[in-house]
Order: sequence, then C-alpha cells, then structure tokens
Amino acid sequence: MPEILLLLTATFIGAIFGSLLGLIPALHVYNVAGLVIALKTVGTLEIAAQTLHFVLLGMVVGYVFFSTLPGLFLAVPDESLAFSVLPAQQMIRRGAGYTAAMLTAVGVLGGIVVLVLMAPVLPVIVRRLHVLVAPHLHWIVALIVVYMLMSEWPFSNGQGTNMQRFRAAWGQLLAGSLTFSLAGTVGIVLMYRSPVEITVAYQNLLPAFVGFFAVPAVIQAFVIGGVVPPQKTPMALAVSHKLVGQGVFAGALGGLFAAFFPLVTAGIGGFLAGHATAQRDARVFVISQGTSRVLYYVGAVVLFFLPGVGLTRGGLAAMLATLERPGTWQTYWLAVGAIAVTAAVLFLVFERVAYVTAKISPRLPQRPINGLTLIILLTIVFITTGWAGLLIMAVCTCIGSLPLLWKTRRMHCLGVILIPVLINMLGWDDVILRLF
Amino acid sequence: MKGLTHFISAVAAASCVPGVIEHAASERGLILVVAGAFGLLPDWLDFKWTRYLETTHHDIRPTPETFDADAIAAQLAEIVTMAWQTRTPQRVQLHTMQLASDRWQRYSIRFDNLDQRIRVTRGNIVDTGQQFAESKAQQQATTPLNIPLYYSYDGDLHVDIFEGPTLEFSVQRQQKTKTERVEVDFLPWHRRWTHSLTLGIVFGILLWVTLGWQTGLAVGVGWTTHVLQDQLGYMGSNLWWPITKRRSSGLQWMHSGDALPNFLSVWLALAIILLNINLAAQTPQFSGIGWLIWAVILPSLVMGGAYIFGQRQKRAQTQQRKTLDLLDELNEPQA
Repeated sequence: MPEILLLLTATFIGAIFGSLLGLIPALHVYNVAGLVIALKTVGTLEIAAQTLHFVLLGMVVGYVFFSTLPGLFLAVPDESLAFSVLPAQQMIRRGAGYTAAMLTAVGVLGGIVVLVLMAPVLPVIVRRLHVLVAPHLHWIVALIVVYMLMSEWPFSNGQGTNMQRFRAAWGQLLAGSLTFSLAGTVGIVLMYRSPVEITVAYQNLLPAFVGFFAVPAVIQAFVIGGVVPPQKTPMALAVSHKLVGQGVFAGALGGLFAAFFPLVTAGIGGFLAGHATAQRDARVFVISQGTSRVLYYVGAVVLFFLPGVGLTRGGLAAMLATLERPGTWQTYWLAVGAIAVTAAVLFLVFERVAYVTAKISPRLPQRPINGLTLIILLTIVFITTGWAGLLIMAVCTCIGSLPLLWKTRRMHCLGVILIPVLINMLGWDDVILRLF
Repeated sequence: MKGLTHFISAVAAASCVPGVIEHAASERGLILVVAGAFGLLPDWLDFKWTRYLETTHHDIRPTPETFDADAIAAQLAEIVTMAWQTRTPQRVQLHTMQLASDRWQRYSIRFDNLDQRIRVTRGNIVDTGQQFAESKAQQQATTPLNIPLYYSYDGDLHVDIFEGPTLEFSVQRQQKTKTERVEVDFLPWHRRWTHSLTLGIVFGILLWVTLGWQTGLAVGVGWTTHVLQDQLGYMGSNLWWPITKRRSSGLQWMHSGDALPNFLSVWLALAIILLNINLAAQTPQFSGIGWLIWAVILPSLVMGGAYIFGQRQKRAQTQQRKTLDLLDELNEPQA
C-alpha cells in the first residue's frame, strides 16, 4: 500500500476509534492514547511509529468532535469543555441542544480551516516565536495566573444590604482563590512526591483531572437528577456568517495561544480569547470554544509534526515524544492533509449523530447514566493508577466541588498544573523540596 | 475598557521601561507581572471594594409581575426634584429583575437632556450576555421635568443583568452660563479616587523606593495606562484626586465594552510586547520597522477604520430612527 494511503487509512481508523471514545462519557482520549503508547513501548503492539502517530492524530480529531455530545447532553465535561458547557447547557434547557452541538462542530471545523490555512506559515512563525519567547515563559505563565485570579468579578443579583452583598461577593472570590491554592497544593504533591506508582507516571495527573472536572459535575447531575427537555432539530442554524466568523476568530486566538504556550489549556485559551474579543453572544462563545478546543488538541499535535522546531505541547505530543519524533516536511504536510480530510468527513457524520442524540436524549434515564458514568470514571482511575489514584481523585473531587457550590470559576482547578510548573519555571524548587 | 485590555496594555507599557524585558529574561524577574496587576487594580478596587462601601438613598426594585413604567418614571422624577430642592446629592440603586438562571427582564431609562423628561421602557427578556432571548410586550412611560437635567451618556441606560447600576443626581453650577442643573452620574462609586493619575504616581514612588526604579516606573506607567485608556470612553475619571473632586467626562470616542477597540488594544499591546522582546533578544527574529508596519500600523488602520465606519453607520441609523420617532409624534394626534 502506498505510504500516503496507509497513513490516511491509519488516520481514519484512529478517527473512528476516537469518535467512539468521545461518545463514552468520561473517557478521555489521552487515557487510551497513553495505554496504546505504553503497549507500543513494551512491544505488545506491533505497529510502525509513524503509522501510530497518524492513528493517534485521527483519534484526537474524532475525540474533539464527538466528546462534545456527552459533555453537552450528559453533563460530563473534560477540562476543555468545562467552560463552554454552562452556556451550552442553558441552550439545552431551552431545547436548543442540537443547535449547541452543531455550533460547537462548526467551531471545530472552523478551527481546522484555520489550521490548514496557517499550515504554510506556521513553520516560520512558530520557529521565530519559540526562539523569542522561550526565555520569557515564566512571567507569561505568571501573568495568566494573576489575571485568572484578579479578573473574577463577583456574581450577584443585587439583593440584600451592602454588607450582605459584600460577604456574598467575597465568599465567591475567596472560594475561587481557595480552589486555586488547594489545587496547586495537590499539583505540588503530585509533581514532587506523587503517591502514584512510578510505572504509571505518565497518567499522574489523570485522577486529579477526573476529580476536579468530571466527578463533581457527574455527582451534581446525579443528585439533581434533572431531565433533558425535548430538543428542537432545526434545518438551519440561526447564526449569521458574521457570528461564525467572530466565534472562529476568537477561538482561533485562544486555541493557537493554548497550543503554543505550555500549561495553557484550551479552557484558559478560550477564556482569554473571549475576554480579548469582548464576546457577549452565547452562540459566539459556543463556536469559539469548539475552535479553541480543536486548535489546542490538534494544533499541538501539528506543532509536534513540525520539523526542526522540537516543540512538545499538550498531553498527546508529550506521550508521542517518547516514541520517535517525525522529522520530515512530507510527514508534516501529510498530517495537515489527513486532518483536513478526516475533519470534513467527521463533520458530516457528526451532524447525524448529534441529531439522533438530541432526539433520544430526553428519553434517556439521566440518573442511571450518571451513575454508570461515575462507575466508569472510578474504574478508569483504579485500573490506571490504583488505590493511590482513587485517593487523589477523592481529594480533588472535594476541591472541584468548591466552584460548583460557590459559583466560582472551575478553571481555578487548573492551579494543579499552573502552580507547580510555575514554581519550577521560577527556580523555586529548592524551597518546595525542603518542605518534603 | 475590558479587564484584559487594561491588564495587557499595562504590561505592554511596562515592557517599554528600559531594562525590564532583559531583567525578566535573565533574572526570572516578575516586574511585568506586577505592572499587569497594577494595570487591573483600579477596577479591582472599585468592583470588589468601593461599590460595597457606598450607601444609596433610594432603591428602585421592580418585579416582573407588577412592573409599572409610570411608577418608576414618577419615582425617578421625584428623586431628581428632591436633589434639586434640597441641594444634596441623591443616590439611587436600580435593581434588576432575574427571571431564571440565565434570564433577565430588561428595562431601560432615558434621560432626555433637550426635552427635559425621563422615559422608562420595559424591554425584552435577555440572557446573561445581554443578548435578546425572548420578546416581551413593550411598556413605556414618560414623565416631564421642570428642572434642568443633564446626562452625558448618549443612549438608553439598560437595567438588565446582575446588580444593576447606581445613579447619583446632584446639582451642579455651570461656570460658563452661571446656571444650575441636575447632573446624572452613572455608577458614582466608579472611577473616582481609584482612577486618578495621582494615585499612580504615589504607587510608582512607593515601589521605586521599596523595590527599585524599574518596578516603580513599570507600576506607574501600568496604572497610568489604565486611567488614560478609560478617558477614551464616556465616563472619564477623577484624574487628579484629591485635588479635583469630580469625574471629568471622557473623550467619548468609544464605549468601554465595544469589541473592536478592545481587541485592537489587546493586539497592539501584544505587538508592542513582542517588539520589545525582539529588540532585547540576542538574535532578533524580525525587523523592527517591518513589525511596526505589519503588526502595528496596518492592523490599526484596518481595525480602527472598520470601527469608525461602523460607528458612522450606527449614528446614521440612530439619526434615521430619531427622524422616524419625530414623525411618529407628529402623526400621533391623527392616529
């Protein structure tokens, strides 16, 4: 089989696999990718490294499209979805879940178009930016942390006396800071004295992320036990080209920022881009989050394929870097082409799946599904990281519940990676090591 | 301007302070982070502290079920009259009407400077992004005033999401005409002492003395950038507090929430930061002149031009609407 055909087929197989994975609530593509790479490393999986790169690339593309569905209809968001789910779930409550899903998909497709259009100039821009910015990463990450903490404004509907409103406002703000600090403490423990076995160190953060983002949302959905109202499935999306453009533009800024800078996740990127472009329309927000997600997940892998730069951004690229690094321009262009073709096909398939999901979701028993999801989450964490992982997950679930209870930003949970890595970047490791 | 705009603009301004970028790269310095924090501090102080320290004299607390535009207009007129008669500032809190977690019943207030009247309108239901969500039958009431009233904002004041705005009515004497009028201050607790250049100078000196001249200068320019950016809007600020007592009006070039000026500011700030990083780098990656043309001048022209064009179109539409309003009034007796 010619190489091009082989790699394209590998991408498609990966995309099908990733799409199915995305439909399973709470299962993250990185968990499975980690296992696949581990199997390849120990020699159980006999596949050429290059072919595996393309399988995993396809898996990520498929996952980005389809994981939005359980995130929307079953309230099981991963970190990158946690910020877009709120407006999208409000759309679901109004019977516009199908529209929300399709707007996200439009954003994802828009992100792919941006990626393909930027592919010829990416090598030049990224290489130069990388050289310039590398010595400055510590203060850029510190800027993000400071902005995250300072830019949270109290949410209030104005009821009560000044003192009551002041206390409510500061309760929310302090809960945010507390979440960030506690998550950061967990991050420091995981980085310097992780209770997780060294043999599964590549999944070190898995229980924390599941605990912070997935479990609290699932428990909340389980306790509330709400039902999805009947969903409308309009023939056309009530959104203008201008709004799509705005959403894709904002999401592209956030996604590319997240893909390029270490520690900046799709959620943070989308959040910053939303602020930079002063978005107000919920539809623009949902589109932008789709774009941001795809550029973060897939863009980071494309950067990995970029020859001569040596960039490793995002979880998958970090895992792929343990195999061999693709180093030719031909592979880079093949990857870009494979992404474009796969995304175009997946978009068409996604529309049908979203339609069916919107139709059947009101009839789905939400509480048993949430219960099942919780079991899946516990199982994944236990299989990959054992009892220690479950313990970490339990602690992180408690911390991850603070934002839900105090209506503060869930993004504060990202202190788990931001704080320890920032400490490392600033060269303050000695202080921490003395504590252990 | 939005928080991120102030924050990143302060960092950009601070990056122009000699040696700061080099210090950040070689010493792992955080001067730029401190400057960014001070760039956001004026709003942080206002929205998290000052607003809760202010007392209001009146509350307008409508409910969705019993909304009465006439009553609200009459209450506002009464408050204006009280300010005029007692010569003491009257502060009023306009409360919002939350219908659901993401649904708010909007109502709007217009202070008509020319015709001396207050108009209250119940609008549509909006979401938390202030976007239209559901239509609602309009209810409107107008109350004439026999008191000279001045409101510097150019449009309807929408009361919809979160806490709702505070207004202050106070009698002010016009130096030119030697006449008095009741002036309406929007959010009287905002952009006063916290948005003064004097405070920026004080913070700058304090940090200069304690942490060195670079930090002091970076913080000073960061704070000043925020204050000056706010002058581009309508509200302005009390620039020389405590020497001056009142907010001066802004240049009225833009509204603080307008997307394009905010984005252009963020873009320019990032372009300036990268330019300074490039200039400080051992091996610069691009030509400074080329960068200025492609990343600063050209986007400014394109985005600035698009904004001015959009604003002109909006103004033309408003003018057209005003003409239609007048025609409506003219036709009213015949209807």
